[in-house]
Amino acid sequence: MLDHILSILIFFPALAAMLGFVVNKDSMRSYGIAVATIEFFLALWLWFAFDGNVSGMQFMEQVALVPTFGINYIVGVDGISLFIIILAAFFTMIGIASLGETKDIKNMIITLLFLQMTMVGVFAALDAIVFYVFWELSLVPMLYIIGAWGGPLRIYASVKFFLYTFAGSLVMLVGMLFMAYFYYQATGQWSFAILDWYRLILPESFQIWLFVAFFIGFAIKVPMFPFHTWLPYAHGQAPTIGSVILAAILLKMGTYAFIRFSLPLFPDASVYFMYPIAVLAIIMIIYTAMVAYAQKDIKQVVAYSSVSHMGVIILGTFALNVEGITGSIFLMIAHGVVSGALFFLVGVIYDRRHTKLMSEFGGLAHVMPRYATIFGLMLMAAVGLPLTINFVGEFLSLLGFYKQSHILTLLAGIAIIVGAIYMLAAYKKMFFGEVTKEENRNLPDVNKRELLALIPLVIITVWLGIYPKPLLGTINTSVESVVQLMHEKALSEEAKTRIPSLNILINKTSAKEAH
Amino acid sequence: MELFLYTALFSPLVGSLFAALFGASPKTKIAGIVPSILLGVSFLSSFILLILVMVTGHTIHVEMMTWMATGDLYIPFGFVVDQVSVTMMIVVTLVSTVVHVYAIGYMEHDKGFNRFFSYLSAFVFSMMILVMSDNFAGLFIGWEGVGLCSWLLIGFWYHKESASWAANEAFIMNRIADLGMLIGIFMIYWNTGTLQYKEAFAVMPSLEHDVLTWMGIFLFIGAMGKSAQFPLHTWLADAMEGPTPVSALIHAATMVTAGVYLVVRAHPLYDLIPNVGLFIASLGAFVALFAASMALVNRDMKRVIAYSTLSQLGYMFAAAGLGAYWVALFHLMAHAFFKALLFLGAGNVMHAMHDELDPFKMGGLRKVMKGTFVMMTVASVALAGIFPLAGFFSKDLILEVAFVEQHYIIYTVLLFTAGLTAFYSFRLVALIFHGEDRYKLFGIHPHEAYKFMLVAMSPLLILAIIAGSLKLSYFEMITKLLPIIEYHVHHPAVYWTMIIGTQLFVITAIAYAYKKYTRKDIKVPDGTSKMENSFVYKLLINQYYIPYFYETYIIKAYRDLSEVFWIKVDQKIVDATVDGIANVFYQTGEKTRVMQSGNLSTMLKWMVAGTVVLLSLAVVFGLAARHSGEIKMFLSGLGV
Amino acid sequence: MLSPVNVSIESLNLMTLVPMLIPIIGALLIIVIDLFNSDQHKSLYVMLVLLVLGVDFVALMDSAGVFEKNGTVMGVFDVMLIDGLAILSQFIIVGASMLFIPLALTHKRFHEFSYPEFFALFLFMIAGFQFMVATDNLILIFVGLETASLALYTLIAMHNRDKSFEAAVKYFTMGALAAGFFSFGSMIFYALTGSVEINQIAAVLSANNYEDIAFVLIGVVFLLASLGFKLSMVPFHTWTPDVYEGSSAALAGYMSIVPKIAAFVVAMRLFEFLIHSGVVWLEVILYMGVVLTMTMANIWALVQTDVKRMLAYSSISHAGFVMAAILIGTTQSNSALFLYWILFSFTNLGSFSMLWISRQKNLPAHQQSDHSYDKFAGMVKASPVAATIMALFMLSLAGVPPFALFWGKMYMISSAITGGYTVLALIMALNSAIAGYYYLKLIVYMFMKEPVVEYDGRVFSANATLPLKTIIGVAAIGTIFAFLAVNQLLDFITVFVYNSGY
Repeated sequence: MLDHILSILIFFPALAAMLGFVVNKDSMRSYGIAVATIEFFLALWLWFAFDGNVSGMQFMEQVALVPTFGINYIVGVDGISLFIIILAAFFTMIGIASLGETKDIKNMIITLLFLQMTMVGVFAALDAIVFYVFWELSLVPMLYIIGAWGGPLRIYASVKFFLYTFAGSLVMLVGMLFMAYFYYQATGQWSFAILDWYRLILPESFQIWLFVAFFIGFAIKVPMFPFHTWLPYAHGQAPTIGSVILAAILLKMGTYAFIRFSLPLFPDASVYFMYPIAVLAIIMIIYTAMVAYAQKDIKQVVAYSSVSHMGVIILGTFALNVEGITGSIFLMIAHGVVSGALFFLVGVIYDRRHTKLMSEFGGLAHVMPRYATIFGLMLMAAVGLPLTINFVGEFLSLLGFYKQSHILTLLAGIAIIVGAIYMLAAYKKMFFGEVTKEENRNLPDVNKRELLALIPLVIITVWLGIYPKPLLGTINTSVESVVQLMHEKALSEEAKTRIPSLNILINKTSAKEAH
Repeated sequence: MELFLYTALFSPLVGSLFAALFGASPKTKIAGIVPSILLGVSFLSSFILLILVMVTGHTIHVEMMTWMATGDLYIPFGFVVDQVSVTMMIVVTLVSTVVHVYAIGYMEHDKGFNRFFSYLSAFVFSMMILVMSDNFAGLFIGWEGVGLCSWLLIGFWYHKESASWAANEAFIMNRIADLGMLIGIFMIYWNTGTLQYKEAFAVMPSLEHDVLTWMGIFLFIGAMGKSAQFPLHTWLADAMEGPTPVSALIHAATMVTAGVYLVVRAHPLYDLIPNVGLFIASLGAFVALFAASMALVNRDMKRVIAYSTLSQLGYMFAAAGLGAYWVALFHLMAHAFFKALLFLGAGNVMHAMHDELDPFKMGGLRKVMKGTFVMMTVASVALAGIFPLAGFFSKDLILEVAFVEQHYIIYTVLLFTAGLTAFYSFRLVALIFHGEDRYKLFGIHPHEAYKFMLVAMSPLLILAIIAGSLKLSYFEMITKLLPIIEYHVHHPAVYWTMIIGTQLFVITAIAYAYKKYTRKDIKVPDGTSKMENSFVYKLLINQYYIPYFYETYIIKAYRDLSEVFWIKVDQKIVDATVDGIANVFYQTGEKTRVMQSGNLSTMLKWMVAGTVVLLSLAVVFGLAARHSGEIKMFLSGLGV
Repeated sequence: MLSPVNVSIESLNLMTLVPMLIPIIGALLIIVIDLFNSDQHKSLYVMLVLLVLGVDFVALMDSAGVFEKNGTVMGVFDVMLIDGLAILSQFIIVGASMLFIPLALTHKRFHEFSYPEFFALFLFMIAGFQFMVATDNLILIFVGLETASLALYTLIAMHNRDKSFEAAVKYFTMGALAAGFFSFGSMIFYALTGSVEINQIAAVLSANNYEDIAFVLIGVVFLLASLGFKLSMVPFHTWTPDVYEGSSAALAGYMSIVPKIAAFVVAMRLFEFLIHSGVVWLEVILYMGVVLTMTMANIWALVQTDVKRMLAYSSISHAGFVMAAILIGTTQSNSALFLYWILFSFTNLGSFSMLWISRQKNLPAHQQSDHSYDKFAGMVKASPVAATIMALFMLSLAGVPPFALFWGKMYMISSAITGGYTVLALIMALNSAIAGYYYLKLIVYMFMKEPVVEYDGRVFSANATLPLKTIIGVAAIGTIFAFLAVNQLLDFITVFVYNSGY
């Protein structure tokens, strides 16, 4: 069974969703929870069975799909994708478990399960087309979630979300087809297998064009400035569960793809574009943080804040050294946990007051102390306080990038200031001061079901903040091989110097020259 | 020995968690007593460690577990007990124990009682991490931890707008400095390849000078934030919004001195870059004067003390900057004792006066609160640096340092400041305890604080008196780690003139303060008197208009810019472009759909038109192809 | 004194005619049955047609086998040309027809199906299309084209609504013009080369290496215009939306597939040799045509309020997309064309059939047209399954993986890239993005909007019967599980295309 664990992880939820159609509406929630829990434990088993000292892919499976055109169903997992898969399973589980009173909850849960399939698929796929399939397919359930359960602007928001991402990824598809074509020219056979592509060394000019094509697809997904404007709408309109999944997992697809595709495939281009992208990242960090500060709606604050944090992730990724990339991957997990939790928390208050305007609140600390405490803790995590999960990621990402550019790191570091500003301001508006609004006087504090979702997140936040080693170690191993691969593939002198050599031996050092 | 180390470190945490258990429930004494006891334990074990270090001269170094490890980076949770950290541990645990006990009385009527103790102990824990860590990352943990706790404690009465504002201000300002610190840490890592103090400092001498300079500067920026050095000083005065025990513990004795600790801890670095050291010293001197000047006129008891803290921090930096690290540390210690004492006394007065802070509305309180009176007077004497109290030894030492190092400007400034210090502290004492009982006008019936609070304060009282006499033995110990620099003016005549001169100067200042503020006709200033309308007074009372400047030109500007970014840029430009592109297509559709009129003849016309266009194109092309020769000639004729 | 021409039957090898004869015989049979005994139920004829087509299909498989053994076969005085293209396209034609004809078994009674002539004509039309693709003789192409078209006009008209008559008339008139163009074009080529056989034309032209290019181009223009009409390339597309709207949804779906593939094959035969022999002009014009067609059609589809018209424009855009294959003209692209079209015929026929089963006999008050968007508002509540299937087809048309059309799109774009048409590839990709909008619009209506008036679910399957549902089921399954078949299809197609020298 372990040989097919990944396929099981991918298709079990989908299958369950199919069967879900016949489950009775009233017992649907329990069904959903059961399925998601099984999935989660499968994911944990994957972790358990995973060998942290192996840098390469594990649990690989291969099934021919369109062999004549080099498309195969290849899945595998390494330290980079492992934890995001677990995170996806985890969030689906607590997401379903903490679902509040939702209209046609049955469809919601079925949709979530399908969504889970696509999420796991994206992170497990090792064939560009299979990756693309899941990547695109993930749009559909999210479209439905936003569009069917969203706020007043939901249709505009969902369609914008779909088309924007769709357009971007089509350009990416062209890039992939090109990549396959180059591989065809170099080796005389078609292949979309990423591991095959890793062996391909392209001339820098090609790399740059392909990098751009992939970049458009990824950047919109991340989303990077200036492609980020779909996000506030999506978050603003989406139901809580939608925002949670979107922020925690879907956004990570973009940053993950950078590490899976852009860096190892186009090392020279990565170096070539490092500064422009870093500048974009810094704009993301500071600019969106300031925009977040201007928001009136707490959910928008969190939404923009996650754009800001994604900036740090990008920066860490393009540090192009082990510290930075490991940091950025860890920060993906961290940001997933923290922003997910924050969206949950926003959902909590929204369920009670059906508004997200901060001006409507104030002095909540008096009436909902537990809520205030958890919110405060997550806020401190979001601000990147040491011994919370976020700090490890941010610290490593910035530390890594400092090697590449001192001044840019200094600018990016402003994140810790502006982040504190909008977060504390928001917290002050909502929780401090006297209770002004009558309707806030006797709001109930967080209830059991909500705690069910929040407590685990709190625990993770602190636990991984104090003891990130189990993750860092595993991630580190895989990242080292990526960096080494990049170093070996790099053509230009600059790239060779920018990307450190770790002089470790990795299995796929044989590289072919494309005409 | 490790046992003691861990006890000292973790018992505050336990205390904090214990109190946190009662966080939601109504206040119970137990939530205050247990943490206090645990802190006592922590103090004892620190004391044992002190003895150990003093006697054996050994230092203890433990590595609890790995924190972060990736690439070449390796950061453990490691703790070291050496002369420097043990000093800090003693100061921190001692003062905080006292403050805890004191606070049991002080906070008894506050409904946030339990919460308060959990925060307070949490603070102590972070402070311990800060001083005990054996690497910069660990230091940074404590650094941020104390920041968090000070945020919680300043904003403890979160229903007060001013309190939560002050809390955020403090946190954000510290964050600005922390960025500097973070960069400093990055520099250390990439240049030395480690963040452990030992290894890092070992490598530093081999690095080139500019790198070291930048390291020093960035680390010091971090220190400036925590120790509220100009221009990041405004938060400290506002931090007085917090409960008084907090001010005593965090904003006088411990947290604010973290900056000094950092500089002392990084002395191997600063020894290599004297120019930066000089800058630190000068800034310290400047802040000493600057803060003291603001204390002269301020009419808020706690703020006055806060400014005096600021000014004393200036002294410490002056000493540290000049390489007299142990002196700085010594003054830090002495200052912790008498300044905490002063604050706690002020706390008593506040209680007595029902949170009245304006000394002008008090007067003659010595009759009703003997104990507090004695304590605050002693503390002020110590602060003023009168022989034989603590302040005398520590502060005069700093003056000597400045003198011996021949930084006469710094020396003069510090000397002058000493006078100011004496003046404003006794202005306060005089206004509060002497003169008419002005409080009667406001119908307040002051009462002395609980006995046990006074008892709790007494250790500080004693130390404030005798700390000076520990100087030599302390010197013995500390110089095992810090550079041995004996400061004595070689020429005894000069030496004695300096000592006596200083003392006389200070005493005159005190006398003047008494004369000026014990007069019978002291009224509560109403903004009419000539002095209050003088430019200097306005300048000082408005803190040189710096807060005003920050408010208008930074905070407001930032807010407006954010608005612009959101409304104008993000919505009107970035998003509008996206929708615009989509609309272009849609509009084109709307415009051109008329082509689809559904009228047969127009359809035919379109079809024919298409054909005709194609035909004409074909003909043109055909002709061009046929006569390509001629065309080429023709074009070349034109010289194309 | 004429010397008698004596030809051996073998040399004619009439077998090449069999696939066309079968439907013709079938048609005659139907008419005969009608002669003896009219008022038969339509189901009889439907089944007959199915049988006939089934036989036809088998015959095709047979000739496919022949082709695989000994390549291209000429027959009947070398008029017939049975090469890979012919066989593949006939497979599509017959297959699509087999999928189409059961749609006649609707729940409601519709006028046209009560006439046996309808089915006879249908078979004649198929024969016509088969002739069209199975020859490179311009005259025979013309004959086939006209047979098919005339039959089609009638089929449309038989739907017996004002709009249908109007549509038929429009189609007829413009078709006449197109026919004129075609014959004129072929006349020019005959004048130039003294032959009507495309391969000989090609030979002669290259022999005198296109000395009088101008005339060639004029000829090309006329052929282009007429084929453009059939393929509804902008600006010759104007008839499409009206005709589709006029004719029944099922027939519209049919028209969006079968006539086009026939035209594509002809276009391939005609234009590719020209492009390959470096007629830059044609390349440029085609490029423009392709881009214009797919982009403009998309843009017009954006602003439609009626789903059927939207689908009409979308199928124009798809045609433009596929036309690119002829421009690129590599084996990969030509195979891509057939792959695309097979997958497309599943999806598109499916979506039109969905409209077909939701077709009421007469228009409810609150709708301005048969299939306006708001008719589908909140459909998911009324009949979730139907809505889901419809959404499925929409996603497939939009090219969302892993549904059928994605693979076609992907392979096509890839062929553009390998053919060196990078910009074109990008344009194609972005067009798919634009197209996403209007397909999404329907999904939004079905899943996210509240119903305009409360339906019972029956509205959406007013017309449904078992056969229709079966067809839709087949289409749906084909759409979902395409990825399993793509490989085999690709191998099969590539062999055929390659071996017939394209």
